[in-house]
Amino acid sequence: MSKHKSNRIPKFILLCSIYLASSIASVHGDDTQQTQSLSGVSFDTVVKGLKSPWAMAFLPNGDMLVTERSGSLKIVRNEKILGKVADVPEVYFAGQGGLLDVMLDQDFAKNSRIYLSFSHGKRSANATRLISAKLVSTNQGYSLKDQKVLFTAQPMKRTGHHHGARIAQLNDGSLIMTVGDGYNYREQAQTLDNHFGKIIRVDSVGTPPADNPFIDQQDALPEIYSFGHRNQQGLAVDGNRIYQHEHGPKGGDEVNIIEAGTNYGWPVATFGIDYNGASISPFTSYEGMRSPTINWTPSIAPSSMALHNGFLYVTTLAEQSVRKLSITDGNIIDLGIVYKELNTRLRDIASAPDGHLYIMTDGSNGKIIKVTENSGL
Amino acid sequence: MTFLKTAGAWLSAALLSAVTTSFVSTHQVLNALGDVGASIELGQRLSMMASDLGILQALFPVVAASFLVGFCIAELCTRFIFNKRQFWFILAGASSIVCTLLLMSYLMNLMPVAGARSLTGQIAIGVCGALGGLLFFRLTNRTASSPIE
Repeated sequence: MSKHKSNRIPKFILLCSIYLASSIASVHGDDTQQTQSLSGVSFDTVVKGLKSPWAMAFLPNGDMLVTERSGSLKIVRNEKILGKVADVPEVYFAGQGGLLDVMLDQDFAKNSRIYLSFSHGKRSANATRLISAKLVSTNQGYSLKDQKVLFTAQPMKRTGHHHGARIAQLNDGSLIMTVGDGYNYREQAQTLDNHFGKIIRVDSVGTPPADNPFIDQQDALPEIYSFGHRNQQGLAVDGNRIYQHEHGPKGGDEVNIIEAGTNYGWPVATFGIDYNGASISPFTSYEGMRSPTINWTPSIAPSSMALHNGFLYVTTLAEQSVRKLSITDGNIIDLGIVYKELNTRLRDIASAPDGHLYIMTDGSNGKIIKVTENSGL
Repeated sequence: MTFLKTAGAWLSAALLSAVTTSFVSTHQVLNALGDVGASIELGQRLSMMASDLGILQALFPVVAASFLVGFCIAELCTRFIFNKRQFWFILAGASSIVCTLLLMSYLMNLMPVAGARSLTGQIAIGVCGALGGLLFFRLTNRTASSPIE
């Protein structure tokens, strides 16, 4: 018995040493400010130390707004975290929820309005909410005034997952937002009497526009723009065209071109299976349901999408990569991974006014990284 | 020998309940798809039942662990509350599997077995657990010490 123990102790010490050495190496790696890839692309850390960040937006004066899921809207100025925006509404921070997307109005220079999405409520009753507010400069930074609730998903749910919450603005000024299926409520993505698994569209004061596809349908909620979605965290608008991606479960991540009133199939038609290995559905396609333009199986966990120089760029959590998609003749083609050097889960991507892509990393020490392409990609 | 017999009965009960739970979950999932308009043929149903048995590698250990606790409590109840062993083990089988799923749902903030998202599914899975409890009782029945049965 004692001999057995004495044999295990050196192994234990050896394993601890390897673990410590690898930990030290990874900490050292974290401090690296710039990474140069073989392809001539450089990655400069703009800011770090963000706690579970989710989205970023660029103000005309060069400041950045960054959401942290705990409910903080951080201000980044001159590559430093200046502080928090005051008067941010209370959020339900649990599971995958919290303060999620932030976006400037397309007329921000005139109206100073921003949009925020977040999970609202409590554990037993929460929902994705969209608000608008006026961003006002103060001595300490900024605060949110004139807040208006534009939309709250119905009904409330009892899970902390699949909130969707990505926002975009169409050319006519109306807002679209993804609402996830709430995980436990997946079949409700197929019915129009609720907001689970939908993309919704409202105007700048929260009213469903008159040309919404189900506005005159009695048994449908008027905000619904498209349905049959799962957990959509990527949304990009190019002219009148809407691009979206959504997480599948185990497999079945999708990129879709969104059209008003269209059913995108979840959970009746999917290439994914449940996390425990069970089937979601016997169908990968179904009559009357739009199949995905791109299907990623196995899952890469797409987390955000940005339109940049005519291409779509998608960050991923599981694959820890950035993928580039081309848009040609109304179709989308996956050109594959363009950045893989960051070796961490990537949460958000944005095309900044300075002409660069910015990538946000996920987790408790989130960073924002500026991408400089030294050679054409 | 008694220990081996009891362990075998426990594992058999867990396997029976895990397999039937898998079947129930598949049907709950397909019925939910049918409720939103999907047309599912018998062949697709049977095929999905078979492929879903793959979840046993995750489900079987969970059911076995829940039965371990539940059956120990059932044995204590038999000795110290009243001597109706069959009743206690059926109750233990049903309640332990449902309680475990509800506990996992609470901790994960989602229901890990899709078929258990509805009350109907939970009741049906409870019946699967009860079957496991009944099998365990039958395999370990000690008629001499349980005159009521």
